[in-house]
Amino acid sequence: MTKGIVPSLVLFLGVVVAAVPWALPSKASFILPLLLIIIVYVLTLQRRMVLPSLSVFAAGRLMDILTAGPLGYWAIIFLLTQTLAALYSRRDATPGFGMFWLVFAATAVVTSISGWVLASLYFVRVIDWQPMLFGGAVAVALFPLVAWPMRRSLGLVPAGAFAKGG
Amino acid sequence: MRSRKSALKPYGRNKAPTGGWLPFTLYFICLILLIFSRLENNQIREMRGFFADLVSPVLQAASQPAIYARRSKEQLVDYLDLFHELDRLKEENQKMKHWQWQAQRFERRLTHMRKLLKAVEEPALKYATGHVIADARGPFARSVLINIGRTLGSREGYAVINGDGFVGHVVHSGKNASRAILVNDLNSRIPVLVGPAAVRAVLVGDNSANPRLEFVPNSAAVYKGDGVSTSGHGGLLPRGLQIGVVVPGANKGFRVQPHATLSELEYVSVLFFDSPVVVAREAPPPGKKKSVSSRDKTQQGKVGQGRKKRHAKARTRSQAR
Repeated sequence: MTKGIVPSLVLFLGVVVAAVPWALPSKASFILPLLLIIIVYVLTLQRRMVLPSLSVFAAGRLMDILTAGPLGYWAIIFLLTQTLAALYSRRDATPGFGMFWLVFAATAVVTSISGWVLASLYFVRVIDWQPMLFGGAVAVALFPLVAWPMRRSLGLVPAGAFAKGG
Repeated sequence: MRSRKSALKPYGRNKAPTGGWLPFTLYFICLILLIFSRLENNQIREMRGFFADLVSPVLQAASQPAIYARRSKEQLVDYLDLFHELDRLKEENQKMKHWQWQAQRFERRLTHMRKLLKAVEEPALKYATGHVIADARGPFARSVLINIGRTLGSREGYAVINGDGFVGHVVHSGKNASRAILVNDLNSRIPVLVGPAAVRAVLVGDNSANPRLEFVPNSAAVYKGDGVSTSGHGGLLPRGLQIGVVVPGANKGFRVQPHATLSELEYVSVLFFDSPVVVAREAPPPGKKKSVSSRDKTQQGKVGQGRKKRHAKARTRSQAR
């Protein structure tokens, strides 16, 4: 139970930070919400703590409320990220950082496309895909900047692991 | 001795939840919520408002670093652009002097005309000013959460402006915070007047930076650079709030570039415009009036007085600000 508190708090903190008005342009509106999938991915793929699905669901719902989107949208995106990360963890338990990043890129692509499809289905019209793609690309590019300090600060992995390529 | 490989393991097996009933149940709940959300269920709306109210103090505190960061950035940009800005302001000042003279002349003429026509004086709009505490991002919404709730006089339907003009309107008013959708939101439809010919049109948001102008008559004289303002048709919004200028869109259409930078809203004001539509929405249906007892009437009066007091209080606060 206590193992789930810290990851859940980190995720909720991330949601609040993502909802704060940072004055990003319209085209970049997806960057901050999609950066949260990095947090879900990293916290799912570590062994010292457990990120409960219920927390992921609740964080997604909080994101929906704060962004005035349909309830359930970001919850599905976050849960999908967690499911994909968990499926990957069963296949390869000791990846290098490159592989870790590559798998995140694949996860980001799948979640971005799913998000776009879900949004288009919800509105029964084709939604502009560019902000979603841009947000996904930025999330992949910024992955090391978010994932590495997060894992170091939370003590999720010994310090030398990424420096030595896992 | 512990092997180096195991010590460097970033994560272990079977920690993450992939199977079991819980994730599937959560996916199922999400889908149900999406459907209810699509159907615009009232309870979902209420719940959204309740949670927005609940987290508004946290968001207000969390938005402070963002506000300071934005101000610092603006100050840095201003400092770097200081000399250029000075030249621009001098030039603008010259133009403004000319426009001031014109405005004074027109004001005199307008006063004279109004006297001749015995026109009814329009009451000045009251307002409350607050700041944006959360941004909405995603494919669904372009909206902001403002720290002005019902306690300060905000109500659904009220116009939201900033120093540059009209930016949106309140769609949900909680106790301490209100949600306002912006003019470029997918669900925003604002009746507007375009250009000096005051051509009627509807400003339709599509989540892009510049909303579309629709229902423009074929023969209408609409040109690039024409000013766009609220028409007041439908009675929801006051007439004449400046929105932006016409810019060419795709397929010979028109778009409107808002005067306000919608992605960088900081301080906004909620206009207390009690239009007939808003008042009618809150009034009880005519059929029910007959069954109201004298006791109920007294209570309604008290409620009315309470509301008036609240509005007066809110107005005093806004004026104090």
